[in-house]
Amino acid sequence: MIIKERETDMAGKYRVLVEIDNTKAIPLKYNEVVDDSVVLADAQSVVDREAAQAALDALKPINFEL
Amino acid sequence: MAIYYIDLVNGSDTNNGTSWALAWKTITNGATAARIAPGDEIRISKTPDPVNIGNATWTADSPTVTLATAQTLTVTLATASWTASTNITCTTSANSKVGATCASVAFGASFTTGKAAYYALGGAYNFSAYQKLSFWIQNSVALSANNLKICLCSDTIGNTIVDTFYIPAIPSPGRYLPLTIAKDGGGNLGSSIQSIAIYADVDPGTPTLLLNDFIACTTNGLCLQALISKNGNAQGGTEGYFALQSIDGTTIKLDGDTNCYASATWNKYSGATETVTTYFRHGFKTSLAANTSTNVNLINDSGTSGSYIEYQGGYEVGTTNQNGETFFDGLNGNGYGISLSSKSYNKFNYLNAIRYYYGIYFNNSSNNIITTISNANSNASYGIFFNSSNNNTITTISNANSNANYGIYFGSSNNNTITTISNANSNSSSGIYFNSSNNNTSTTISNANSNASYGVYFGSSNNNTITTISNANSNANYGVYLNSSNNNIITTISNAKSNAIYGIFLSNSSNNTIKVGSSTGATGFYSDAGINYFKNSTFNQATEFSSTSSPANNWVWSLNHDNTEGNHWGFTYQATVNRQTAVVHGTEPVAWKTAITGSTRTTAYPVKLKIAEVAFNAGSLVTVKAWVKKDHATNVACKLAAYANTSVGINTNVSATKASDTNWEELTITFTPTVAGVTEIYLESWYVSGNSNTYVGTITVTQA
Repeated sequence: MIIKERETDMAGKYRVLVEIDNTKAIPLKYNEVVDDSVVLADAQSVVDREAAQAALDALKPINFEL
Repeated sequence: MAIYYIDLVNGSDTNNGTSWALAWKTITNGATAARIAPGDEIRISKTPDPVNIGNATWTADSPTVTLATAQTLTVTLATASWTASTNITCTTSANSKVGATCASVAFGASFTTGKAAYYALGGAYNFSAYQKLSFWIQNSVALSANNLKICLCSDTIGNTIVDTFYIPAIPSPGRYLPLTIAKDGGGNLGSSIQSIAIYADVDPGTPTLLLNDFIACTTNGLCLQALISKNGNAQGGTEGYFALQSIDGTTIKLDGDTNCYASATWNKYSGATETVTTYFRHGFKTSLAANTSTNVNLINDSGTSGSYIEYQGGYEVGTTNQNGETFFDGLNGNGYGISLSSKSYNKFNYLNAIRYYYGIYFNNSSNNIITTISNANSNASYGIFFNSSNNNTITTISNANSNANYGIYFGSSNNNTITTISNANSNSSSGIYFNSSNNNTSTTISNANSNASYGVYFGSSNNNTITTISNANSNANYGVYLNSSNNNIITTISNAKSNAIYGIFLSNSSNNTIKVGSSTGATGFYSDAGINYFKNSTFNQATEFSSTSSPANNWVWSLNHDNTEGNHWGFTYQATVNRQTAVVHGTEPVAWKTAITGSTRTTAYPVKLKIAEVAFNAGSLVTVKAWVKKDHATNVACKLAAYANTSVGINTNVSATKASDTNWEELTITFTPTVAGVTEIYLESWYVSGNSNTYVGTITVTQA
């Protein structure tokens, strides 16, 4: 898990892209610049939440139609 | 037009209802269709005004209200097993109203009469300042009146009876209800009570009783049948009246429905934490309903479009003063408090329905007016229920709280107009639920907070307009949930804060437009399919957006995101798009950035950003050019594309792909339409071997 991009958007928000691995990255947003440890902890919590949600989603059909 | 009167206490349905002295007693049997007609007004006696019980501390999102001064004295919480007589089985049950367990007393078939069970209080207690006993009881089978009695005894084994309380008929198996009973013969309770017992004067059969929270209370004081509130107004006010789950000295816990056990987590107060003057009031206890569908107050007739039949609560008996409110209290969570089935053109004002199955029930009933319903709380299913009921006008619903399903439910109900819903809080499912209900309009929903699922829920409901939701906060799932619901407009959600999962949840829903003033909590919003819009919205979460497993045609477009002019964002599964100034072509002011954030967005599921709609004449070459760039030469790819559009004679896809470098490059596509018309131009971006970004700057379109 690495911080891949940092930028400030047009609203002045601090945006960080955390790359979990080569196949997945998580965008995060803050009102101000925060320590990388905060960012990485938040990214981990997203990973954990998504894993829990994926377990639930496994119980229902997936919509891959475009 | 005639005026009729209902005196809930002293009326008689054999009267003619034409004065307070000749008032009817009930809506159902007094205000019959044969007696009333369009244009008539039925004035209903008010129930007692609020009583000040001093200060109490209320805590947000907590069921506990702590009184400064106790109003009752606990006899026993009955959380432990009692001592059984022969042919009686005493145990405990986890289905308690207070404590982890309650006393369970099962009568065996061989038991006939006499002492069934007792419980030693552990000392001698003086209850002589009190005149009544209040407690929770749930019976497994219907009970006949006066077969059973609770006794306070001066010895420790329930033999020496001092005070006797006969249990009335209870026709509702499996439902808790709070009983408050004066001692047989009246007067004060005993001054040296050492045990409590249950006796049978007549063989009761084989009921199992759950017993909990025995408290001594005064004749007109606080008891388990009372409702409490911060609201001291005899009439009106937005703070709701709450049923009580338990009383133990100064500690009160607010109830959900009557079968909301102590272990539940959805019964709570959702307003401000503060210590304030607190009040109780009593409703009129209607006859106990045996079933969920019993019509307790049945509306018997319809008015006409020009002549409504009015049911006006809150009247002071003997006067023309409408200075209070009328609370109907079902006590056991059964029945429909006020029931309309296929009735129209009725008007309701200052009526309340507590502890029924449905508080207010509209079935196939249209063109009615609710002027003010102050409280539809603690019902076992819905507070206010509209099914197949259209064109109703609701001016004010102050409270639809603590119901065991939904606060307010619209099912297949269309074109209803709601001016104000003040509180739809702490319901065990959702605060407000629009189910297959379309074209409804609501001006203000002040609070849809602390519900166990969703604050406001749209399911398969389209074209509804809500002007303002002030607060959809602290709900256990989502603040606002749109499921298979399209073309709805929520002009402003001022706050969608502290919701446990998502502030806004969009599932299989399209073309909804919402403004969110401020959102906090786990994740700002979710979408899995459809194209929806936020305008001037602010999301304060680190994780603004989530979508699971579906790169379907799924976009949330947030215009002026974070309430910043020109800060436009698009959110979709494993990608975002935003208008930005950091990376631009030459001296151009902005470019649109597509960030590919996941390997699902391969060429099979590219991110399709529509960058233009091009209008053209027939028969001559159209040239579209766009400046594009990538942040990584090979991790991602992109192309300029116009898709086949046979309606204008573009029969194949046309595209130009960006080279494998990180330079700005002007891509060009051409096509010759055979029919004048419009087609769409896209920048497609996709994952190749890593996460990265693409950009698109100036677009030029010419036609030869």
